[in-house]
Amino acid sequence: MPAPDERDLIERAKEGSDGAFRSLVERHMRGAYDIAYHFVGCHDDAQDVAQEAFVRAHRGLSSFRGDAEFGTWLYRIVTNLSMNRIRQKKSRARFEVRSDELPPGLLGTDVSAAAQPDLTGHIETALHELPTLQRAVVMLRHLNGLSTREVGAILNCSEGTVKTHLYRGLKKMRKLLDFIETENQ
Amino acid sequence: MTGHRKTRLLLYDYLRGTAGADDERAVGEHLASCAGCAAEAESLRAFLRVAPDGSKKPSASLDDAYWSRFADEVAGRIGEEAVAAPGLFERLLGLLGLDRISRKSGGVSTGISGGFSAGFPSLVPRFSPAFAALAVAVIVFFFVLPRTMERDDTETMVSEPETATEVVTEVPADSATAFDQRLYDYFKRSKALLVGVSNMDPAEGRAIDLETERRVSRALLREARYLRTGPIDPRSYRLLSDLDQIMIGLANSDAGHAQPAVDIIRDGIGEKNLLFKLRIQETAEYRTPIVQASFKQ
Repeated sequence: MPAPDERDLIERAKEGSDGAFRSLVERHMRGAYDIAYHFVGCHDDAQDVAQEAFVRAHRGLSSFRGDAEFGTWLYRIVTNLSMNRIRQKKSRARFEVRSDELPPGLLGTDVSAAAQPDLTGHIETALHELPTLQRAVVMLRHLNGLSTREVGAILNCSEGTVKTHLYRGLKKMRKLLDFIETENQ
Repeated sequence: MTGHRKTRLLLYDYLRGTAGADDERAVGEHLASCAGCAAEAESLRAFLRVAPDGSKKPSASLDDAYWSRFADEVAGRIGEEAVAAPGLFERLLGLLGLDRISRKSGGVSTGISGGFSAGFPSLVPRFSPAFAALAVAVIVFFFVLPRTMERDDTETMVSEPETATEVVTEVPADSATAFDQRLYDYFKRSKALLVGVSNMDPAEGRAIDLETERRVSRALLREARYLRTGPIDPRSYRLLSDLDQIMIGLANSDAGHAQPAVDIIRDGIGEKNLLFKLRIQETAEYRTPIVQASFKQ
């Protein structure tokens, strides 16, 4: 359920107030961008996904019943758009693999991520190796710091499922990174 | 007492301090008496210590001016959406520049759709045969020709590995940079080959032609033999050895039994996590040629 002042903004936005919708955008744009960025891994795509999410939220505002937080509803749109974007990228890559030039950001990891210290880059790469739902849970819960309940609401699954995916995802990442640890010993 | 499964599902919250009081106590008791779960907890704790978490927000690196622009752009996109999207016929008119003529003749200046509805009816009877011919030409030019050209590109792409031998032997090996470049090219080509094999999805009962893959894998085996003699770091060396096993399997795959060979090779790729290791290697190469050079010293 949205907070009272947010509920008021939503009602006014539903009635066509541009100012009210802009206030909602300003409240949630950073959160939407952060989630998108963790999924798609580059600024341009994150910006595009976050903006598109607001456009869709505006389009579907009349169907927002207010059972959940506006942020949760918006983040679900962001998550779905992000996952679609990743799928499109993967699908394009699938048909281009016979070419010599595989893009470095094949799985959503931007080349700029390569500028980070070694281990962080490896962890990001491992994260992008996870199955979609596990990755979504790890990103939303661990990287975005959302609660188990919020992640469940965004991904439309139970809290138990969120915990299971989080555990499995982190375990798989550790397994993937094992060989680096072995080398460092 | 809490079971193993429940304990492990609660470990993340337990280690982050976000578990409820009851869960925290139950997990603590279980860890005190279960070596397996305690080891699992320690492993997760070590991972969480180095893994980036939500404390660093990507949005924090962008200034207020950016966020103000962001909100403006959202408003702009919503505004654009509010304007009715032109139909196919109107877009065709736009391509031909007839939308402007139609607007003039109709005296309407409120946009494409207004121009179309007001001006086009008077235009169609006079120009319909010429217009139809133009429309067909536009469709062929913009939609059919590019697809044909795309197909041609793909064909070129498939036959591209034939140049592999030339590429790998042309690079001079008289400097560390040239060697790094050659090593990088080797990994990149190996990755392209492995992804290609992993993605093979032939129709039921259709034979697979692995001739190109065999040829490329032989070229890569020759290249790996050379690279092993150079100033190579331990991780790359191990990766070369792992890749060699796959390349040997691929180079020796029987033309008559390509499907089983592909399955075995796929299993090998998965078992050794080769694609992941190649991606790691690739990002490492992108990241720091300098660090890599110092690592070799």
